[in-house]
Amino acid sequence: MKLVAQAMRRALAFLVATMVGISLLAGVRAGSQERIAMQTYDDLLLRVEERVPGFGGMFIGPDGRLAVYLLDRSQIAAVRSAIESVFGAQQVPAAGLLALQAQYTVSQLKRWTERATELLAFSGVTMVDLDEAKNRVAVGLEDDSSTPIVEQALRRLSIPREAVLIQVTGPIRPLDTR
Amino acid sequence: MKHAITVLVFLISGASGLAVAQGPPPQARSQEALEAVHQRLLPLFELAGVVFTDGDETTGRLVVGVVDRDVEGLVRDRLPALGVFSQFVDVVETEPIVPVITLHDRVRPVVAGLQIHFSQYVCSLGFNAARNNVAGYVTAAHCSTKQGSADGTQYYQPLASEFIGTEIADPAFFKNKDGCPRGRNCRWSDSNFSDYANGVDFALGRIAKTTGANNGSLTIDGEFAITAEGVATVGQTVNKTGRTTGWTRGNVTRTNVNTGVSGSNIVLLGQVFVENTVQIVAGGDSGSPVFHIDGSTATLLGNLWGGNSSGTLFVYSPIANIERELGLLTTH
Repeated sequence: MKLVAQAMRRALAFLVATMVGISLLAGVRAGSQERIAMQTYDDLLLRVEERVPGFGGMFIGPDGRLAVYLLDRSQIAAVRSAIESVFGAQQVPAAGLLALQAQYTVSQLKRWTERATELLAFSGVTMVDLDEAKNRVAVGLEDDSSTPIVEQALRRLSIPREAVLIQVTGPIRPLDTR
Repeated sequence: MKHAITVLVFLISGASGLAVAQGPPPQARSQEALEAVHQRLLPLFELAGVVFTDGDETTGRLVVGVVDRDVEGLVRDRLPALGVFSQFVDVVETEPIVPVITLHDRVRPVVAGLQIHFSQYVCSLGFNAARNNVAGYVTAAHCSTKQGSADGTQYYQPLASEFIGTEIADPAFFKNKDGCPRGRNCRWSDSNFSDYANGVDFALGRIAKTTGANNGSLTIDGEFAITAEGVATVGQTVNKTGRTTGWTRGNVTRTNVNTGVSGSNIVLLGQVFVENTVQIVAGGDSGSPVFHIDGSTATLLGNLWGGNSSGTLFVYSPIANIERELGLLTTH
């Protein structure tokens, strides 16, 4: 019973943490089964965009500032408030924010990323990512031999080529000792 | 200098009646005599706080290492009974010498980051946890007999003679939903859960800490204490402890990445990439805990399962995805 109570307390703390953007779980217990609806990090970025249209992602830059992509960089004060609201005040480092010129919004990139995930059906495609540090969709390849087939698929999926960074990552493999 | 050493040793030897007139050359003879007197110091280890004794051939003097100056008086009081003149003994303060234990050794209580063994292979223990009131641990699901199936894989720490637990949860792959590409088997994490065998001592919320980040050391030098669970932002520095490359760190370069596992039809959704310009991961690190640190406390972020060929990039499953599949976990 003690462990169960402890687990419940941890779960509650964990869920509270999601509210400040530390994590993204919203759990509901149904009998003995746990059914958990999950928001991804990208979903939280979308919530920022709902408050500040034109938001295109964020990352911690080499200088320690939170670099934020905006279509309209004058929205820096508004986006700070939105980020603190969605992720919590601790998300904004002491070094402050830096506004970067966005080309695309999070919602555009997320829509294209979801479509592009289909590319993982091709052999040699290693990853598909909403790249919030580049304000692009990123597609990873084991080697560049797959580039033509990926570019063809991007056209079929109506994803603007200029919104996609195709990068050779090399193979991504499990790291046991087999 | 050689003359001085000879004289000093002669004095000690003479005092102990060990001077030798015939035999080896004077230098060798002097060293032998010094060592003979040195052996007389062995009973000093009966005193708490004596770390070492040495016959220092470079100075011709005896040296006793102690953990603090309070021990010096006890040492010097004992010397006459051993037939050694106190004035020929230097007492120096030194750090305690403790056994070197590595991530490959048997460690109890069991903590995160240690080597675990299954079948014929080794991986790293991800983190201890309670799940549905069962005490156990999380590691990479592919570090089991069959990924995506609770097959009862038996785990040992560090090697086959030390049984610690059995896999009891390893969710099945899914297809054709939640964005899983056609023809692929998908999961949200590469993680499983095993219950501890009766009597295995483990510490919840503890991660093995080696002597430094990215220094190649596997020697355990303390622990990190997990105080929270969280998610990482691109640009943030995060850490891992694993049995092959030890404690390493890099920067988060991607979050929520849908990742195709090379050489398989597996796609892991919503993973996180971490990179550095130096090697930070290698075979056997699968399962490792990934965490952010603030001093000696850690925020648990997930467990590592993959990487690139050069070892400059590793991929981990975020804790939110792990709990989505395994259920809520108590990790600290």
